[in-house]
Amino acid sequence: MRMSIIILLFILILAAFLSLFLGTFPISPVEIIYTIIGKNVPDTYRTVIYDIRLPRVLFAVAVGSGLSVAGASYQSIFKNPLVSPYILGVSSGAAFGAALAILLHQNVYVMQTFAFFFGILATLLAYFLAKEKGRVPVLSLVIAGVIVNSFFQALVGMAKYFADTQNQLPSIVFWIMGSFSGVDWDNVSVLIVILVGIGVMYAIRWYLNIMSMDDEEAKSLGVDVDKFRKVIIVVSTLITASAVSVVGIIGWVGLIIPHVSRLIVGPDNVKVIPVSILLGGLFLLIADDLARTITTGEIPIGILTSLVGAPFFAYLYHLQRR
Amino acid sequence: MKLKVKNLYFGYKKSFKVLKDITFSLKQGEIFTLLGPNGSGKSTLLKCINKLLKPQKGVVFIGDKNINELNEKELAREVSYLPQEHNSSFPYTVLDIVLMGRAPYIGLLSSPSKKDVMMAKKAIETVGMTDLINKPYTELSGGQKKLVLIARALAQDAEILLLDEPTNHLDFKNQYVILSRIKKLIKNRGLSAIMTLHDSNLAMIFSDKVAMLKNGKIIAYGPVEEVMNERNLKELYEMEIEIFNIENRMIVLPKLNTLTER
Repeated sequence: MRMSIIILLFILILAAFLSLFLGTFPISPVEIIYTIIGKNVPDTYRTVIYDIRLPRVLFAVAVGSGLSVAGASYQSIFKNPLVSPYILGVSSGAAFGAALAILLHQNVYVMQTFAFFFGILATLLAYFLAKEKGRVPVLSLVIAGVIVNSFFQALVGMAKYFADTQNQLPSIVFWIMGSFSGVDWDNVSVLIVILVGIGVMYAIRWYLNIMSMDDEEAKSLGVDVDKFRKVIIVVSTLITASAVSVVGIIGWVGLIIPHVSRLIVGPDNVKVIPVSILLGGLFLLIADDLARTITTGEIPIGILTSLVGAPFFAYLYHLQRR
Repeated sequence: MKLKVKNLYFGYKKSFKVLKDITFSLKQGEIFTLLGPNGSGKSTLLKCINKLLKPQKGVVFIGDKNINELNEKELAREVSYLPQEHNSSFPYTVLDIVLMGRAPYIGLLSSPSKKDVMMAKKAIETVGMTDLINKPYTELSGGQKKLVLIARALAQDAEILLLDEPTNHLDFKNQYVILSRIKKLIKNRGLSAIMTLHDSNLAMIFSDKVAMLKNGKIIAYGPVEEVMNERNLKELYEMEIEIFNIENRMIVLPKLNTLTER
């Protein structure tokens, strides 16, 4: 167990380092190493490595880890291995926030802020819709999530309908498909929120096991189920809304990475959470490396994760059933 | 007295009471069985003792402490609970499941320590499941699952066990096996148990005290020998019942002809 985590960590760090060598700007590997060890190189090299590629690599890892951890924790509290971090509407809400900002001709930072707050707003709506007499039953949450998701998706549809087809409509469509190309150091606060969220989830990971039991059972084991569920929803939503607000909607990661982790280490969240963190970071890092290198343009990352994720998941599913 | 329930009332709505004026007490080492038809309030009563439900009136004392003064963790150190139905969406191992019983002793930001793992393993050994310790819980049979949950209740290290139909879904033999093990554990360790049962014969064999619950009211309460008679059972289940003495074993049977006539 400890060994596989160390190996995974090593692979992740190595992959992150190698990812700095990838990109459209032509710098040779030797020059990159010169840049990293501080030799005398042109300023543009430093800008490309430290201000463009490094934040992108860090974000890819953090977002991949964050979405995976949010997915794993939601799968626990919803007592269902097929739940994604978007179940309570955070992605639809964020998509509407971004679309609204685009319609109002706002700059990218306003757009990110809108996406973040509408993502949170959607989740809050779902949460209070599900609340009855101080309790928040799982089934009510699922139904509330369906309602909120479809409502905000309808609003996104309306935003698309009213958008001008020259600039706004493509912007909305591309935002929804997700990309790391807009990431830079100005988004560092988002990075910190995601990392703190991951830290909190890591700390309470054993209790995720108990949260995946029946509510009454968890209570009889001395766990304040409603309070715990609230904390997990708040932390997951902060992670997901932060990630989505900057990079758009990236599907599959939050669903399959916890799954794959469970296939490797079993269902105990003490192991699932650290493995999901490392595997999720690695998966999105590699996906983003592909997104920015296999064509001269950029392939939207959301498409790539599904394109890579679906067959991979099908293969694992096949293996498991044999 | 280990446990005392006094004048307890419960209802999901104000006008309709599921439990009415329930009073009883439990000594250390005692096994107390709740008998009653479906919907008579047996499980509800267990849940009131466990604070899963909040009574409208009345008090529950554990030792000399009112349970309302205990927080979740403190209560879970005193009372463990075996749920009626149990399933897991994830294939946790037997050890993972039993370790959950240590939650009342584990901090919110911690994971089980070596000592917790040791205690869980000991509990698994006590119920005789050591061979299956790394097996997925979801692949076990009904009887094995019950044993794992009993091990979890033991790992919880509480002195009062609430067992909601510990024999449901169990085959003929396993009903006796599970109840014998529970009885042995309770007597050896000086624990106390409240359980709900549907089989009057099992209740006669395995309990010290019985309460008969009908429409939310206790209609008879006391030691097995005093309470388990034809008159009480007839009133409880509203059917003709006979008790036979076969080689000094009391057997409860329904009068068959009265059943078929209806």
